[in-house]
Amino acid sequence: MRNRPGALLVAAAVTVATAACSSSTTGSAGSSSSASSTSASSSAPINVGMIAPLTGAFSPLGEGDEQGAELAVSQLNAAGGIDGRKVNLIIKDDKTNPTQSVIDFQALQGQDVVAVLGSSVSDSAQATAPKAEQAQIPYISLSPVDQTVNPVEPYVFLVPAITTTYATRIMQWFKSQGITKIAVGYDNTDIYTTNGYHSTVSEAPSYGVKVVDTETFQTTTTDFSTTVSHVASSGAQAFLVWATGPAPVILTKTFAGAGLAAKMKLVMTPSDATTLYTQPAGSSANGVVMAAGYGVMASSLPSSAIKTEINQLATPFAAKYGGQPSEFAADGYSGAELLFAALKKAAPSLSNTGIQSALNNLSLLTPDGEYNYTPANHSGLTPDDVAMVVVQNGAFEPTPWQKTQYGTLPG
Amino acid sequence: MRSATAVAWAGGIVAAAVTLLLPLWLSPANLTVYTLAGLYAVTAIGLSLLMGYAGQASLGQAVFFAIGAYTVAAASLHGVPTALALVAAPLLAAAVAALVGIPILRLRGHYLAFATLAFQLIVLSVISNTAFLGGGIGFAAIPSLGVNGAVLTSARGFAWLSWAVTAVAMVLALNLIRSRPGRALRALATSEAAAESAGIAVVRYKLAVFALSAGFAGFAGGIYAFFIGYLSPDSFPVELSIEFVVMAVIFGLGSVWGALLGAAGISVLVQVLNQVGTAPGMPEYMPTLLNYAAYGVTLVLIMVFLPGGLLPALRSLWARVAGRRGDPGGPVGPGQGAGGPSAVALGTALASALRLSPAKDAGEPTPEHARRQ
Repeated sequence: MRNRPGALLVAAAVTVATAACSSSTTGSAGSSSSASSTSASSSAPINVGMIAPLTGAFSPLGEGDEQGAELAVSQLNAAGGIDGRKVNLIIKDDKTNPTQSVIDFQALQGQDVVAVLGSSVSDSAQATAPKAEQAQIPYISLSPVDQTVNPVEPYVFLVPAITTTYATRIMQWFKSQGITKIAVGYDNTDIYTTNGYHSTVSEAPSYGVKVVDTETFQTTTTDFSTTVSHVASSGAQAFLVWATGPAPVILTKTFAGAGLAAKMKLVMTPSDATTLYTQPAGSSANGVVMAAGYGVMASSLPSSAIKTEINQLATPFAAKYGGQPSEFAADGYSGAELLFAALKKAAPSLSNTGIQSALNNLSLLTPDGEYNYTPANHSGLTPDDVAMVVVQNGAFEPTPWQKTQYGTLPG
Repeated sequence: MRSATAVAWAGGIVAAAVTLLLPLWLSPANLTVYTLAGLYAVTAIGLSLLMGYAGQASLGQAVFFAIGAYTVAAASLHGVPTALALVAAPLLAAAVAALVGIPILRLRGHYLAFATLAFQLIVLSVISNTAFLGGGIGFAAIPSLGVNGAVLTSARGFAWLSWAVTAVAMVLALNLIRSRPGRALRALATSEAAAESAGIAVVRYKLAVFALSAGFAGFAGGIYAFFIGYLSPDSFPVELSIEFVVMAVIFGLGSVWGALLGAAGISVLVQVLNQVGTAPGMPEYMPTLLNYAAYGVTLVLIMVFLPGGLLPALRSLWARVAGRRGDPGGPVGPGQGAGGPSAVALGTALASALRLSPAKDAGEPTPEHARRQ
């Protein structure tokens, strides 16, 4: 009788496999005729694809991406959709893995999506963007990888600002503070942080800033005592750190523990402008200066177009999910808004080329800032879209300098 | 016996025909899964030789897949002809395996498994810090595979290439296990001391099969690099190694066909779970639940109830359906679970793979062996 469960299992497995096969058959039926078929029916929903790391190491990012994009979709559909058609968001999980992201992209291709919001995982973005370009499907990347838009590829667009944009804003702040000597630390195993370092080095001279010390570490580094002691003796007035994940938290605690917070400014980048950083860093993060989107300091913003835009995300977000939208939610929401604006421009014919050319000449204010995509610039944000904030008891407050910059708010 | 051979041949021809024709019918996404399944099958077949026949565990097989992929990327991005780079991939992977095999193959069971795991982590860390190998950022824009001006870019072409390589790997593996070295491998898996006293060069054979399995993985990895076009250390996580082990054991360790079915089955299962988890209307926790819990529970259930793997269970089921009660293959039914690698300890395929102490498991012929003897 011990055979029974086994036999049952096998039967179950066979059933599942058969079901899987038949479902994939139906899925593939219409796949070969992709782009043009979408304009066939005037009331059919418009399929939009999204790849997000819903599981794996980057799942906190993916959760935000998904929430932001879903909120944008429900708002759009409630307002009547695009040309009378609802948008149907098809989300795929890339498991924080570039191979899976490529499979997801092709699955979306098979589901007749008009465009894809790409994964916030940099590996996934790098593996998938070329496939999208090859397939000529508009790909709006949520991953801060400068290389996806430099050089410009016709079908690939970027939502987060490129690192040069952040570096420039940080240099503006350094200059305003009279800071001329800085130490730079970066994670040399991550593309965003490595790009950030190179952007820092190339932007610094124009602002009279000299990099007096360079420190490298890895995503998995857990001991920063050597790094901090190097920086302490370097004569730098500020320590700019490009890092993500647990490393910047540990670094912040080591920095504060060494009493350096009184002697120099610790400056972080938008990847740390999240509760994933402020909560574990706790009081050690007080006084840390960050470059970030205006969304993180929305409550302190004066009435403005960008504030209205941010609240359109933040208010329903708080009602639905509780709490403030993360930068990833803002990216997901902004990316979706950019795409919808392009779809509205391109409608009723939602051909690949139509959407591409709509994106190519698009100006739009989103919670992430004011985008101006042009054929030569698929990044679209400028240093004015970046806020310089300071961490106070876990919240992001505008720096005094930032308050003087309200005349140049986006929008 | 004759009719059995005829049936086997007919089955083989049908399987080959279906394998060849499938790419004409699959959607782009399914075609990618299909291509990857072929590459994983090549790796799993190599691993099956190593684990099932030679009785040596490896929890780091993805490292050889990675070495193959990196060989292709680094060489072709530095101007080496792509076909030559692909040929170099298995050779380098095998050479590295032979080299590290000298010290680590002195270890056995858990120790060897963890040494291979550690080796993978070390290699990934070295790659992360070597600018020449793309560092942590990886290699993008890997050139297309081409010979004499003909360039392979079509998804179908890759699917056929992947499964052609799988077929070659199958033939090599099946011939190897029937050959004199194959018998020597099984002997050393049963008892190294006995094998050695029978004149088998134990160390050399173990090294050779380790290098061969690495070569298989390296070749598959080389094709992967051309196929996906982007590599970084994160493309080859430890999870991939574990997936290879699962593929090699789930249908029955020590069976080349089992490894093939395992690679195909697990590839499909993973994608089905992924698809179901993100289906419209699914709650937000579903992807996590399915990718971890359902996947894990499936493996646990199979190893608890069918510790010999799915293939023997299917065969005994078939025997019962066909009314042939006394299965000539011997101990195959799930009822014989107690004699197999007990899944009680951890209950997973992984644990079961780790528990593979050569003396115990390989001593009991799997049906695959039984059929061939």
